[in-house]
This record gives sequence, structure tokens and C-alpha cells, in this order.
Amino acid sequence: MRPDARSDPRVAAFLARHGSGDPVATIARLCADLIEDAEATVPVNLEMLASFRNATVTVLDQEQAETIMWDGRHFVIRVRWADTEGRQRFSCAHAILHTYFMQAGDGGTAGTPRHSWSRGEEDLCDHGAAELILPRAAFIAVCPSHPDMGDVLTLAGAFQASAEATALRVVTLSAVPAAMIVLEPSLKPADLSRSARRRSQPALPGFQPEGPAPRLRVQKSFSYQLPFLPRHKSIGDSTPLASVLTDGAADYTGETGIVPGRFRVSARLLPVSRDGALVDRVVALLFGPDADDWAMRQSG
Amino acid sequence: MGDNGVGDRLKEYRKSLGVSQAELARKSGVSAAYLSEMESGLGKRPSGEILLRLATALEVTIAELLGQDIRPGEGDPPVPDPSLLEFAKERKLPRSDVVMLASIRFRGDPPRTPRRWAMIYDTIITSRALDET
Repeated sequence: MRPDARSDPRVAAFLARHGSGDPVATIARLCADLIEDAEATVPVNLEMLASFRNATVTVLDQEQAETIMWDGRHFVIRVRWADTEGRQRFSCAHAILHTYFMQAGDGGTAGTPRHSWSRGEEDLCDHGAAELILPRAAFIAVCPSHPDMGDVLTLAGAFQASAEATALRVVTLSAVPAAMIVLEPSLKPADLSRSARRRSQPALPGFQPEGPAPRLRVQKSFSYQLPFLPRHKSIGDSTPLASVLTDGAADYTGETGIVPGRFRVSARLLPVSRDGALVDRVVALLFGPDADDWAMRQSG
Repeated sequence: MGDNGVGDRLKEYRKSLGVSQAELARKSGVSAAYLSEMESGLGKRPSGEILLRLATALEVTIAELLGQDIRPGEGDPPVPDPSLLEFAKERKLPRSDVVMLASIRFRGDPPRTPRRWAMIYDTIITSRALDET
């Protein structure tokens, strides 16, 4: 959550209507109330939660489908048919959260321009989506004391969530230092633009200029009390983490090749379909080498 | 509506659709005896799953069955993005449609070109037509 979220007029309007001074805590409370009111069990029926929020859900075979709008009587949530089930569920849950913001109005004062998009609102809807799909009470009840990626995959199946969202939930709720990273083979941003420039120039016949080879690099990361894991940072080809690309899995205590230090590492190769092609992707969980049992932290 | 809560609203929506308890029971998979009990205001509030089945069969939402008025807040509509205004001008859209498009929440970045607005608008019009057939 960005520090300036409360100065965002849409977040301010949301807080004025729904709650306390802390937007993240307010979202968590609204989600818990909704789940309790619906007596929802795992996997959470999101169509049911949407209906409690006066919304209907439609799956459309259209590129522009990830939206929510008001049709004069109901909110209408549209999700993309071509998306994975995990992505559809996340989009749906995210949209359910928008109903709270839309209900609160646009938050402007007379004469102040208001725009229909707010970063603070989007961040809070993402946060709330995890609260709806992976409800904290249910999640904490079943998360093992030393979760690894095998457990994450089991939990992801039970909650009908993506492995990435589930690994992130383990970290965002963790009371012990933890991190989650998503890695993909890719070029450095500078090499990417160089390579694009080279492709746009005519090459000599029979001459194929060699460019740098893609390496496993950090695409996303989230750390709680562990070192920051910078985006685009590559890992050494000889690290156990890199072997996941060939072996499919790695569970070890040692170096990651991303930042100095030893960690308890659990990683899985979880390819994703993107633009019609299967892309290699590694999702990993990191804990300190001697981490205590996993437990939920009081805020987060 | 005289209120015994969900029961009265259930009966009203059922009657407005012109279906009997037996038909609604068949359509929703909820037993006719339970429906009759609910409409008489007996027993506790049905579970979310039962409410969803009934709401779907009655073409309403659970919020409507529960009598909750959940709608966008009052106030001026958001200021449309310039790309939306350009698209609206091209297509000569009525103000209500511009307001509707400006009020849509997008996952991620909203459209910034008239072409993307056109795709969204056409999708909505097409899916509306499908709902009506």
C-alpha cells in the first residue's frame, strides 16, 4: 500500500463511507464481514459473494472483458474467457472490491476534477482480492508450520487460487521473515532494447549477430523482513535455484545467487501461457535458514 | 412491501416472474417445502449457496433478495478521459453512455485511446443484445 493512499480522493471517500483510518484494515474487515455474511467456505464461491454485493458475473470471450460497470440495477462484472481460472477468480474478486469504492462515490469536491481510475483503489482491490480468495482465518488454519512450494501448490488447489497468489499470501501473512519471488528467463532491460535495435537493422546475408542469452531473472518479489530482491537481478547459472529450470523443483538451504546470505529455499517450475506460448516461470519461497514455525503476524 | 424479510421479497420476485413455488423449486433445485417455509417467514435466513440458487432462478441478486440497496454513490460522475471524449464525439454517443463508460472500473490501466473505448463500447452493446435475446 503506497503511503499517499489516504490522500487519494477515492480512497478518502471509501474510508469516509466504510471505515477506519487504515485502508488496508478496512478492506480486510469488509472482506471478512462479506465472507461471514455469506457463510462462504473454501473454495470461496465468488459468484455468490458478487451477488451479495448486488453484482452479476459474466464470462466473455473478449479482450476488453476485465471490467465492472453499473447497468442501472446491478453491478456487472466481466471476466475474460481466455484467462486461466486463477486469473478469472482474481479479476472477479478484485471487481467485487470495486463495488465498495463505487458505492462510496468519487470523492471529489465541487470544482475538483475526478478521474475514473485511482492507483490507491487498484492496490486496495488487489489486496482485498487475496482476502476473498484466500480468507485469512481459513488460510491460517491450514497453512503448515514450515510451508514449502509443495504445500503452496496443495493450498492453491484447495482455495482455487494461483500458486503465485498463494505463495504471496504465505509471505504477506507471515510473522517470520519470508519472501516470495517470481523468476523468468529474460534479458537485462538494456540488452532487450539493444536486441530490438539490432533486429530493426538489416543484417549481412548469412550473418546472424550473436546477442546475450536470456538468464533467469527476478520479475516480481515481495519481502517481509528479508533483504529486498531487486527486479531484473539475474541469478548464477550454477546455483541450485537455476537448476529448477531443468529439474522442475528445488528445496534446499543455501545461497540464492540474488542477494548475499543463506536462506531456506523452495522453488518450482510453473510455466505460464502468455500470448499463445508457454513461458518458463519459477516461483520460489524464501525463509531465513533457521526460521521459526510459520505464524500469522498481527497486521498485514 | 410488508416485511417478513427474505420471504416477502422471494414471493414478490417469484410472482413478478409469474412462476409457481413448484416451478421455482424445479428451476433452483430448492425443495418446494423449504420455499414455502421461507415465504412464510419461518426458519432462519437461508445459506448463501441457497440464496444464490434462488437469486439466479429469479434473475435478481442476493442483495436484492435481502433488500439491500447497493448502488454507486451519488454525486457528479467522474470526468471522462480525453480519449473517451474523442470517441464519444466520433460516435455521437448520448451523455448517458459517456457517463456509463467513464464509470467503468478497469483492472489495470484504463483505456487511453478512442480505439480501445470503441472495443469496450461495442462489447457492452453486443453483450447487452445477447442478454435481451
